[in-house]
Amino acid sequence: MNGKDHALIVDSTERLLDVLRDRLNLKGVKEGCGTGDCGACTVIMDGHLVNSCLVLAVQARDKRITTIEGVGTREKLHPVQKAIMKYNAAQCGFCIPAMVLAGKNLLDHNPTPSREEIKEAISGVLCRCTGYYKLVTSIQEAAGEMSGVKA
Amino acid sequence: MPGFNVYVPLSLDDALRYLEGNPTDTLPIAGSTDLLPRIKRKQVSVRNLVDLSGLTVLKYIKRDQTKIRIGALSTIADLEEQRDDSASGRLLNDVTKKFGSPNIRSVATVGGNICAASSSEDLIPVFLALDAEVRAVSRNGAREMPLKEFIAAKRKTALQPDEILAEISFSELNARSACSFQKLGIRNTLIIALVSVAVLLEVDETRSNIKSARIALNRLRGKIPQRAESVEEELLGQRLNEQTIRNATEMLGDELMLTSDFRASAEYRHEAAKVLFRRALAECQASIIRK
Amino acid sequence: MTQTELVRKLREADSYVVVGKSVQRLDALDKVLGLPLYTSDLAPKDALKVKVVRSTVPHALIKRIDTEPAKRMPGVSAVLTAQDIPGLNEAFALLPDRPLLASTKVRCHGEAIAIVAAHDTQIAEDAAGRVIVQYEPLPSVFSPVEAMKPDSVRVHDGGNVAKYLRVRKGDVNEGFRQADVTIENTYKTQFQDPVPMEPEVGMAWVEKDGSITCVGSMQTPYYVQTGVAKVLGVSPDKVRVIQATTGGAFGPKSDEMPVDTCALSALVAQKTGKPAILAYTRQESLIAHTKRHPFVITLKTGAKNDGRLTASEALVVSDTGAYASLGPLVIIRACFHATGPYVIPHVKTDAYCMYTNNTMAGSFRGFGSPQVHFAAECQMDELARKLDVDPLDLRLKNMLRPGTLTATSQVVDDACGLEECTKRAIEASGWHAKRAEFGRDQGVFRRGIGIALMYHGNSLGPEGNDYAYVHILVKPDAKVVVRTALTEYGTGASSGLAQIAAETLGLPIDLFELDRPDTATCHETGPTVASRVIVTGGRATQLAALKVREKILTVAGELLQCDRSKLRIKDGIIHHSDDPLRTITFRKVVEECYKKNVSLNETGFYSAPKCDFEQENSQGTTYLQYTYGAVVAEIQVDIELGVVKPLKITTAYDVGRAINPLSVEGQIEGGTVQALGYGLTEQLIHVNGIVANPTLGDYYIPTSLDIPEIQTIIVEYPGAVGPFGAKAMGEPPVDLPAAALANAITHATGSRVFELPLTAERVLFATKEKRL
Repeated sequence: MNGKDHALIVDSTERLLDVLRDRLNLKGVKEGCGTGDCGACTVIMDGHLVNSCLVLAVQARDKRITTIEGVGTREKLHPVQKAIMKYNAAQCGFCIPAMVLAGKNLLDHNPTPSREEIKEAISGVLCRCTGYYKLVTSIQEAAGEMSGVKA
Repeated sequence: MPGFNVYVPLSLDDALRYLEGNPTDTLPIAGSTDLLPRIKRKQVSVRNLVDLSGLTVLKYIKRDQTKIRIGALSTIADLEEQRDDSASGRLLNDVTKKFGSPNIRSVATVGGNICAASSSEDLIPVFLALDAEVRAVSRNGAREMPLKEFIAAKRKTALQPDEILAEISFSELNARSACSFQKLGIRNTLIIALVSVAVLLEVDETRSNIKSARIALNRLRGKIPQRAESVEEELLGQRLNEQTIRNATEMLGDELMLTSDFRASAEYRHEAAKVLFRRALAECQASIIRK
Repeated sequence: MTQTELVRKLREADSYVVVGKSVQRLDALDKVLGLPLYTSDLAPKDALKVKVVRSTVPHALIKRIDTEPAKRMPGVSAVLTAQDIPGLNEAFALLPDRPLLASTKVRCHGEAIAIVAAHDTQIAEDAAGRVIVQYEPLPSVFSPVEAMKPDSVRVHDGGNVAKYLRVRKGDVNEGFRQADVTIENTYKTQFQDPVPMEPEVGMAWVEKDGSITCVGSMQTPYYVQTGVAKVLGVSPDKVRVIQATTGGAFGPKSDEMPVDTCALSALVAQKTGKPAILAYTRQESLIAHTKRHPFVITLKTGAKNDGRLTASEALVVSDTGAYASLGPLVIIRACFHATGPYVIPHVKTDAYCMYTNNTMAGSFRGFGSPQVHFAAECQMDELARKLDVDPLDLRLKNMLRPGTLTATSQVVDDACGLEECTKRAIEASGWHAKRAEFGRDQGVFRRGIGIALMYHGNSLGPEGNDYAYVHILVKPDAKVVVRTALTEYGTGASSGLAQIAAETLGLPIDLFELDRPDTATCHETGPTVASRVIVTGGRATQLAALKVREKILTVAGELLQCDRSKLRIKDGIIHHSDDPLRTITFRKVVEECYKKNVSLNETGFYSAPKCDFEQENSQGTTYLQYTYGAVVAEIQVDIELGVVKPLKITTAYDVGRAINPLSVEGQIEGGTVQALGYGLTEQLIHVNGIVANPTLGDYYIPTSLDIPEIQTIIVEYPGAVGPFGAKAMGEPPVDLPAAALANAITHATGSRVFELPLTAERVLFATKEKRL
């Protein structure tokens, strides 16, 4: 979990979402629907985006998981986070942890995505406030910064 | 979440042994994207879940001479990531692109999609058109059967309580074959199909006549994916041209028995199915001409 | 200089330092790090989870409620019904028509009947499932038009009309006599669900002194305070309400919902002595919270052959569901805007807000305006077709301009950018070329381009008293805190208030902090709705800032030993206007203030002038200023499937003054996409009164793959009332896209869909019908 090993005894019905929020106190991952339709609970699991509300805790055994708490710090933000701030792309903020993770995971695998590929990467996370526009622009700019090319 | 136990098997054999010992109220679970919401909504009552997600022995996509074999625990993302430029590779790529969302594709499995046995499962019409076979394994051995026999009714497969779906396989398409998948939903992504159609056409050596046709829709005369076999038969030996496509479309229209619900009326689904079918045929035709 | 003069000077300043700049929102850093704590994140580990037993039928008498099976379950801490309410069993936004917990009757699907609390969420849910409710079903009415009939089923004893009002201007019979051409059409719109990404949630606990504290996802802490106090039977000062970070609102979190979640939690907290939290599931939220009113609008419009409008007659009927919520106010806005932004000498509008046994409709961004603009703007295009004139020319001929009269006979002032918005949207979208080119498309994919115009009366106008209190406090370290019960839930409005304060005080924005809306520290200030935070809250902020400025300059004058009227503040430095070397830092002055006990804690109160209009025929000034806009939508229709693909939406809005251009853009883009959903894919469907699609897997809001190119053009005609001339921009962006899409589809296919959403099925069948 964000670079640190954890050994836990979990209930059979506990979801990864519950373990993250209730046991590890990582409140950045949110429950928006509980049915895998909104993506607010997105985490990165072994390099893939997953809806943590649909992963049983026991299914996350031995996996490498990244949550928003493992991305950037006040002093050193991830380029996606910096760009979101620059464009005021965060409104109510509820989908932002998931959006940052989706952007980061995309850039980890594809450093020069097209605008269409960015939209694809975040298509599993719903946002009701922003219309996605500035979020896509933010990820595009972060890609540019990370690959040394102007967006 | 309503209560259940989870058994984490150490091997495939371990999983099969558990299933054999717990024949009632026990279900395998893999990607959980279909099963967990249903358990939550109390549409499914289960006492034990067997977590297959760690059985990497069933996660593969391989070519075995002319057969493509896909392990049932391959995820949709695994299918997406395989860069196979064959006709079937491109078809599967096309389907996976329209499947759920990236988050769902990461964990949803091929086996899970097939065993869910409903018109919402995108892979089923595609594998039906590919004339796929499935292999179920138990401690007593393995058995194979055509996919179309495996899907018995809505949410019912031929899987016995002590069996796991292990593999799905189909023959690679030859150079005289083309395939097409068309899906219509209410929005572009993260969507259950209103109508989906998969068509596979093979032409003869002259490349003018249809040697075989396989047509599958997510709903034909009920609420499960089926092959439109009478239309397939009708197409045999026909010239692959505009007239044939038109006739086949009309015939499919006569075969369709669709129902209305709050998402769309039967009339609209009927119209849309005909249009998607015609487009699938036309796409196959264009692809064959190009080769 | 008097305060009024100073405010006017500030409005007209040519170059602002902070206002008009796209400065970063104050909460941006926290948000990208995932730090803000929403209500569920704050729940203490020992909090009881509350689950609600809800009605499964749309209209019935309750014969019996048996809670024993639930009470008997191990792990259940409390099971409560209406008889356990110590105060009043009431939770309504406006009309006293709604109980908190139903006891004798239910009037819609999903109505709350009982609550269960347990430590474990699953136990609470299971226990809730064990409560037995015996119903005696009653006949129901599900159509607002049906509900108007004299023999209709009655939802409430007083009849089905929750509100009626009308507009009468001139003589509509004369108007139609003058008309060369008359058309009449009926338009229908659907229930749209707000779908905030964070479902409703409220939490409560009992303090040591017996008072109650509530924390929740909400728009208006003081409504919750009043509502909870009423239910508990205590005076409001015994209830403290704090708004937690709120994950989207759009309306439902300003009406009954936060009162429900907090009051029900408070009942449990009071009964058990433990903290309690009620977090709606998404399904529960989609069924139970307030939605956009469906409307049925019949419009009859008359015009002369040269295109001049002569008469408009409208019957506007809304479906407010089982309980009125703010339906009576939504219908007012709809009634006044029903003609669209045009000059029409003779107007007759009758507007009815009707009860039915559908689920509740209430506040939702736009508040009646999207519905009537859909009808009015489709009607303009239909009229253009009948007259065989270009729809743009028809609009240019009739649009509101300074000096003309609205439907309520209000004189349009100079701050009217409608014409410029129209022209700029036309130019940026390539309207003329595309209108001609797209009309020639053959084949399966046909393109279309359509336009819609709007006006949107700002703030509460006729809906109520429009006032705000904002506090500004300067801390010893010279940080400036802006504190108000006006809430932030994604709009960026609170940051906007800080910008206004920064501009007024001459300070850099990074000195500013926002404080949490808390009834313990912020004066009651009216609701955070109607896009009034910037307009009304902004004026109050200015006034508070001016008071602080006054104190600062007075003390600075003493320190610099000069006449304070010569002092200016810029970038945190106070300097003498004639002697640039005579300066002192803001920080130093603040230190002095603290030493001298000069209070730097000021409150600004602003109350908008009351709108003065005659009530019976709604003639007069109905809103103090208007936002104007034009939207052009470019689409492509697959005419074999009816599928509509939006290609580009060009928007131009007269925002008065953009306090923060990036934030304004964000509101426009977000609102446009929300309206795209409203236009094409979203409908909350009731089948015999039961919500059929209460999941996000079956209720389709736009995803990132559904958005077209969106262009935002900001036009500024400073308004009379808003700070620096700012106009409301929270809501207006949702008013037009659906109408523009409808007009674009008609351009592409030659046929019209008169109903929202413009589903593929409706487009296909309208097109086929035409081709027959």
